Amino acid sequence: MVIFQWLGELVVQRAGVIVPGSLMGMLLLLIFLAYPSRLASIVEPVSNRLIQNLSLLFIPACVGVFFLGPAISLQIRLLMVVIALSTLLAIIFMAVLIKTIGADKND
Amino acid sequence: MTDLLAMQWQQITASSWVMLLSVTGFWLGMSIYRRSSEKPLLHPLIIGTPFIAILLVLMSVDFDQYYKANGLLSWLLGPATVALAVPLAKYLKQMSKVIPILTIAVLFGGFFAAVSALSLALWLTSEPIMMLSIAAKSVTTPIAMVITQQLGGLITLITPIVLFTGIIGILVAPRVFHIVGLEDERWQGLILGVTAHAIGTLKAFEKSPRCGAFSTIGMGLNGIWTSIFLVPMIQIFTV
Repeated sequence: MVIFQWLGELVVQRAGVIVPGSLMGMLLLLIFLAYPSRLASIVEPVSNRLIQNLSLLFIPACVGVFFLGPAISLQIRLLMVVIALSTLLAIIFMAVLIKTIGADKND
Repeated sequence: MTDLLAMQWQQITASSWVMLLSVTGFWLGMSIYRRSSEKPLLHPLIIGTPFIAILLVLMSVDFDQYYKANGLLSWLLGPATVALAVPLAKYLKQMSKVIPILTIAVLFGGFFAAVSALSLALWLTSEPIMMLSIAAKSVTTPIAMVITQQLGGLITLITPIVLFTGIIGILVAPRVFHIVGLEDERWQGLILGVTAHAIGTLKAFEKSPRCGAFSTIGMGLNGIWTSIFLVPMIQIFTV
């Protein structure tokens, strides 16, 4: 995993694209995994452990929400309304869109 | 290359015992979550983080110190993102069958998520800086940071905005799916990924690896797609 992240970071640095390195690393690993090899069996247990505990990795950043300070607290309530509404709208929009084109029928 | 390694090494070694707080908070959140038969309102992130915040205040540890002490956890996000390739590879065949629908859903969904946020922000706040900061809300944090920087929004605001979007997403999505009658877990996953990025993907993986794989692809594609259309679009409007 680590090797592929570094590979990704390197590619991003060289190519100057705005995609984060880890995302590029994921794409690279995906390309390698598309060909049958022993790599999959080596990578899988590590990958599963990481994904199962993904929540833990987000905790530090989330705690930061409580320490934002008073500077923006005035606007924060309005912002929260905007975010909540638009997220709800976007989810409804996509669900209805997919339902309309009937994508959920064929399995 | 060497300075990249040195930077990451520094981030990891800055970790300290304060990191145990995160692990405790996570563990506490997880056990409450499991006991409540996995209600979305009691997600470990929602239970665990206020608990940690209160402890930090009680122990008078400031946030910067805490964040630095969690270097190892933050660093692991990189390899963890790479790890998502494994479930993705498994479902690659299934996905290739539905590429047209997948593409349409991501293109329109991602566009709608950004435009709805922009127009609501314009209507309610009338502050241009707020609009610029909120535009990238549905995109995963690392990409959202780059986009916000290019737009000239507030970088410090984007992390909590993205997180809050994700939390709202996982709270409302199950209800919307129920009301609309969308039962296919592939599309539930995709929607979670496009609208609620990494937090949605997390939730999708709890449902099933298949749901998670579609969520991952939704998050990744939406990140790339939003970074392509958003910056030029806003530049056209502001000139």
